[in-house]
Amino acid sequence: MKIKALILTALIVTLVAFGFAGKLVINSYNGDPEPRRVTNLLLEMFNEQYPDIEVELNIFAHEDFKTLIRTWLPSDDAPDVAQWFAGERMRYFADKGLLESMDDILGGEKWNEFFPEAFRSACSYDGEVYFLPESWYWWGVYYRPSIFAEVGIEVPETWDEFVAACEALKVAGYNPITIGTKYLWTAAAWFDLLNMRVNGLDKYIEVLDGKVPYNSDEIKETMEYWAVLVENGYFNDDASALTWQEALQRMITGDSAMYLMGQFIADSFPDDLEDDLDFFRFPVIKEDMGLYEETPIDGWMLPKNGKNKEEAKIWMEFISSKEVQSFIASELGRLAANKDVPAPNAHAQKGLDMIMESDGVIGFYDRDTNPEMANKGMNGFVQFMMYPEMLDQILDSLENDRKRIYE
Amino acid sequence: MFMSKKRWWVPWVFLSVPLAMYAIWVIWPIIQTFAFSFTEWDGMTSSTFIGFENYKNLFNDPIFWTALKNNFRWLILFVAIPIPVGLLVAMLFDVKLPGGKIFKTIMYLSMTLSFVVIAQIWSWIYDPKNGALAVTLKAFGFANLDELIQGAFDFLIFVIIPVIIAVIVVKIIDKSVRLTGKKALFAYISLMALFIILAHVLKIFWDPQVETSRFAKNGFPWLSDPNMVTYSLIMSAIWRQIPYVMVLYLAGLKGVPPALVEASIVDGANWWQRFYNVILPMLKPATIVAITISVIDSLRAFDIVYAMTRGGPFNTSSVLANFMYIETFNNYRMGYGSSIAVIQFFITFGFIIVYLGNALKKEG
Repeated sequence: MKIKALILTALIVTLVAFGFAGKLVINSYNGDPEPRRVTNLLLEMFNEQYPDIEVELNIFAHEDFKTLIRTWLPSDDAPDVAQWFAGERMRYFADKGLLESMDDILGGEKWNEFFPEAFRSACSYDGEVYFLPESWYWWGVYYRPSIFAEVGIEVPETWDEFVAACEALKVAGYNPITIGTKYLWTAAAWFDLLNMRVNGLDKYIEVLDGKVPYNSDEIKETMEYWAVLVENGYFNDDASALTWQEALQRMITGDSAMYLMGQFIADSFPDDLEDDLDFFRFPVIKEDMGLYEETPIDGWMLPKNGKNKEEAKIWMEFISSKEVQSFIASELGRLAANKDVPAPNAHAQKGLDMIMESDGVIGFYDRDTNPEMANKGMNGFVQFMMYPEMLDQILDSLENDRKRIYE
Repeated sequence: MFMSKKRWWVPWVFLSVPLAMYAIWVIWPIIQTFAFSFTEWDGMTSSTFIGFENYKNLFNDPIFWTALKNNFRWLILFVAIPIPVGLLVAMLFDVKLPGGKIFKTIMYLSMTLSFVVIAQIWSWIYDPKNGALAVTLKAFGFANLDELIQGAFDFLIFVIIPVIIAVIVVKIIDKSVRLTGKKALFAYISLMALFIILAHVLKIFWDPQVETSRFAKNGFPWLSDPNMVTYSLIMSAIWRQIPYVMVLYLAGLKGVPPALVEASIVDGANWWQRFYNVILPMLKPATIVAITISVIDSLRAFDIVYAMTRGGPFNTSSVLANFMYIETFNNYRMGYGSSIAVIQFFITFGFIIVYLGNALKKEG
């Protein structure tokens, strides 16, 4: 009996001792080689600054992480901090009471010490900050300047110029716009940007919130602009068989001239062709409409069921700091959320300038709308790109989905 | 039975561990799936009981019907193609040929690959621009899928059918006038040539065009044309299924006693009679296993669909398993996903009952 009691006591003492030493469990989706390397370096920096905190870093493959996080958050051993996406995807968890507010460390005035005001709403739920932005990127129309020069076209600024450029490219034997919709989300970028150019930001946020019927005049008007591109054959017609990288190959080989894509396109573009890749702002459709852009924000959240709240907040402050954010930005070539960190290169500077000149931003269709609605919607867009004549039917069917999901 | 009645519990002791494992990991999840299918649940917060609402929605969901139809396409083609072809290949390899073992191994290699690897290989083969299939077909002069389908159709109507007619005509003549040796050969060749020429004369006046999709006119949209994609997926799965069936039949052929075949030769049976009346009945157990496995594999179809298209474009290549996965783990509708699983359970269960009924009858 005595021995058992002794063991038990020893066990408790060890546990308590470890508890006092401070522990931090971090779950990250940086499974790709480059982000993984940077995350490990980040951990080394953290260990140097806070040697008392014992860190457990779990890195998962991106797609696995998205499924697994739903089992961690409600469970008793939730991670103390977890990587995630700002916007509706974060609010989804906050709404279920699975996240801890960070208002005490980032709320109110404190936010402005670190981050631009424009990011606040995407990182907040019910007026409190629930999300710490780490890095972000922009979407733009990427193109090959050499092809534009050869065909003799200028960078288009308005919709008419854009359509004329597509026509000129098509006549010259190029596929004007490449896209790969096998994994659906590439099509959503067109829906986002066309909507914001036609209907403006506020109206589009209502669309994302499921408040606007999908067969309404506003959406139909948007789709008519899209239909011009589809019906004239400016997109590659095998899009649905291609991943976004396979579609990019067409641009690398010089068959296609343009690609609406996020900044991460540069990661996959060959280094020796990097000088022949540039981007421009999505063309303006209505002159009196503000310029709104897409800027998905990645960052961190604080699960309610995590055990080490104090350590978690130390990590959050660590990630917010200018030093750490500029380290991540320069290593990965993304833009840091911290407002004092300069763009790491000329390409990023151009993207930063574009966003700073804009009148407002959203994240991305599948980050800002209900996940099921996003899935149905994106399937509808892919169908529309193949059968534009079925537009009314597709929109009616999406409207049925919207009603079922939101009402 | 020489087991004493007092020791009735002995087999149960040995069975208890596997039975417990079976109950925990198979039976219980099935029961749970049934229970979930009557609820609305996002997998995280608590679930609400909604009765048959999920099933009502399911039967009104066009994607469900697409997936179900595709499952039956898989089922039919998975039995119709790999089994005869697998049998044919097995018959070929059963004859001792120089290098036969090497060919057998090459044939069998695709069987050793996992479905995800196969999906990746076939994605490359199907690449609409630079894929092996598109490049090969272009080298043979087919500019696009439309031309290929039209070419195959013309070949069927204006070559294959005339040849079949010629064979039938020769057989009919053979009934009244006995054709032997050279005469028979001459009759076959001349009549086939005659009918093919006649068919091509007919083609001048009657040249039917096959209706294909607009995508088929622009290239080889194996995976992007909604009418084509399911068949393309099934083809890549069949590529793996054929050697599987071949192995089953090769094992079966080892069990056919050579004496029986020799006896039939002595009795004057020709090759077809030998095959149809002697070998095929001996292969019946192998055939039943091959059909059962093919049916179950076709109903399980998921890996190829998920890895190659994720059910796209816009769900046209979806099958039930893939539809269930997307609804459950992408759209977070655990209840709805469970109701799909229940439907699939009953379909599979139906086939298993038929199979078990057959198997038990034989044992009994």
